[in-house]
Amino acid sequence: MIYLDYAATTPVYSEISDKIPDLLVKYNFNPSALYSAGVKTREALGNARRQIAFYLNVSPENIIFTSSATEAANMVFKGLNYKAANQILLSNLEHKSVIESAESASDLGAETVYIKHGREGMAFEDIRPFIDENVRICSILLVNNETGAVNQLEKLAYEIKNYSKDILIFTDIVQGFGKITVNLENIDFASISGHKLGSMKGAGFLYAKNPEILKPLIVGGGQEFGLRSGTENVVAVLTLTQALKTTAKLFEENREHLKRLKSKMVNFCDKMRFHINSPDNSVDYIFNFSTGMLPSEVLINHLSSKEIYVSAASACTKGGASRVLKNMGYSDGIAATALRISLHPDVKEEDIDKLIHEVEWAAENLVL
Amino acid sequence: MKKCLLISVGELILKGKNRSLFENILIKKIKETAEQSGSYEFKKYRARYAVIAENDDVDLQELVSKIRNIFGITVIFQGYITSKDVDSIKKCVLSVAEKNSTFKIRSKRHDKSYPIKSPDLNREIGDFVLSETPGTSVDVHNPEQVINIEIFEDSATVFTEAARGMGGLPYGTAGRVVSLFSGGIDSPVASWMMMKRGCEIIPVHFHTPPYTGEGSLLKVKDLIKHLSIFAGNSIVSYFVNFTAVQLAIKKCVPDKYVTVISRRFMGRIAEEIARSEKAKGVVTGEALGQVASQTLENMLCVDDVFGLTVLRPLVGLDKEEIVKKARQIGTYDISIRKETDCCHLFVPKRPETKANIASVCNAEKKVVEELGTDYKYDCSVEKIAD
Repeated sequence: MIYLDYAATTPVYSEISDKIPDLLVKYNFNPSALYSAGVKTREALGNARRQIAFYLNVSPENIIFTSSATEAANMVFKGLNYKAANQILLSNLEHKSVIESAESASDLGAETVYIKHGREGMAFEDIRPFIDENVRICSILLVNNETGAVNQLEKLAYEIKNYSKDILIFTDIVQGFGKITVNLENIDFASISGHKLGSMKGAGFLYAKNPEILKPLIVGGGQEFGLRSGTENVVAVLTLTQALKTTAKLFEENREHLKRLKSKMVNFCDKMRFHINSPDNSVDYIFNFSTGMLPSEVLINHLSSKEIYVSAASACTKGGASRVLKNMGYSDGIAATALRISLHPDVKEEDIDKLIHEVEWAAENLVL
Repeated sequence: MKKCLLISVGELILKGKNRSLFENILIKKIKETAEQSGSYEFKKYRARYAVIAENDDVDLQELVSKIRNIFGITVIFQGYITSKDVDSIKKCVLSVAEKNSTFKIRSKRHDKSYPIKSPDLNREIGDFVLSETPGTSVDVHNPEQVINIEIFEDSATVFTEAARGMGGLPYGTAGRVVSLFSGGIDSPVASWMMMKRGCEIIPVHFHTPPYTGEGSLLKVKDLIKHLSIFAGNSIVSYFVNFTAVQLAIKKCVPDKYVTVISRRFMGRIAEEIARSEKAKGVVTGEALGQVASQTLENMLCVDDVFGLTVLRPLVGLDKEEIVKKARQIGTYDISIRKETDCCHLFVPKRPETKANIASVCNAEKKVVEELGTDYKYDCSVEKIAD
């Protein structure tokens, strides 16, 4: 099997999955319990929080464990008070977890305002015309999950805060966390998912600079500083910290390798005259292109029959196509024939060669 | 007093000399189903079958829900089998009578030597229910509950209706048919209707990878798995890789004929499978006029390739009626599961609604040339069971 869908999920590293049975035995206790086994479980959770905080250069009390990045985004957009200012600024290229939770905040009086910007990402000039006293929060996506385009998060956050300190900044860093440098200095909230790094599913967290301004969505036992009640999923969190370590190390050591893999794809697309949808400033591990002639679904099915697993920006339904690519201004023909390859340091050059071979075959034989 | 189910069969009783043929299959199915659920004794009481529980702690409701899926059964009653003395009968009646409802007692003496006549027994038991079961009243015209008492030579039965059966004829008694089976709403209903009339079905599904994906195939298998509940055993199913044929058709014939010629090729393959499986007919889910390609002319064009009976049980139904049936038999939710595929690439923009056999045959020759005379389709066979 050649797996090239790491942006959808990264399979749990075997060094982690091997340890899970032991972790389940060792930390099979409620971290709120007062007896020794409970205290040890609590300690393990605290250590995990500290390690993550250390990695992000923030304080442990600003890390709130959740089930997913989607939950983290919901906690922010549905947990804020919109009385004084009610606008949410965001891009229509954001992940659905952000768009849908921001939209659902309309029940609380919030209003979403979409910022139009170029394919390369947001610039402060795109945002500035929208900034006034009505803006409560601005969302900046770090890495686009479909194209790999990177926003200048640090710069944008600095410029926004410099313009108005009252505006909160949220960022979805799911596709960048552990893989590229992230500076949260001017960031108020960030959402993170563990399984994209190779942890168990069901673990994620919210970074919140001032957690107290959020009204909790889930109340009960007061866990996670009162922001997210419910007994903590300690084992999943422990796999998250381990996955973070492994990912950070692998990506750091293999930057050149990933670059080579991407350039292979770029050269192939140039040769075939396929359209490259990923802008130049994209990360090396997410690459999006369109054949322009083969519906995404057909190509995915063909590759799947050869045990090569990739995904499309979206499934090929009648007249359906990638929302993100269409919002980037691409035609239906481009959006409905797109393929997303997402890589990992473990991917070999031969894997890309096989992929290229099969895509070439499909382009020659499967076009109707 | 033992718990029991009494099972009524429908038109089976109309059968003449070969009745036992149908009956034996039905009895076998009922016995097999009962044996899977627990320990039961089986008895025949005139036109009814009794499934008698060996011990009291069985869940008869569970057995009812399984038995009602067997074709050939019209009504399932639930109650007791007991000795013929009135006290025993009363004890059983007390167990089945519902509080706060209107009721009627319907007695029948199969043993005419029984000392109490039916009207007298009705009265005596009716009075007993009125005095012992709170909130009851008699309504002989429109009762909420009918309590049946039947007196046989060696025992008596007391029972009320538990469920309506599916009707029809026992599965497999009418012979074998292949069924052109897509993942849509219609073909599972068409298959079910023929199953109900006693046909053993062999679904044949045509897929066109990579234009259709694994999700669509899984959906078809889930539909067949659901139908296997009614069959009472596994269903042998064929999955034909139709891509080469479909591509040849797309390449060689005018766009408007793609649908009708595709169906003709599917028909030929289905017929080949039918002959190898000794099936006597081919079932399709077509309903007249439902889509542009399902016209009388096109049906005639497709029928032209068959040497077997073509069965179209949905031909006279509206879409709404088919959907209603699909919901009723439980295939609808599976059928509407959205599996993405690119089948629409093969659907002509303006399909021919009045195909002419001669022109179709002419157009088709090129497809045969393209495929080569020794072309053999790829196909896998699976036994699918719930």
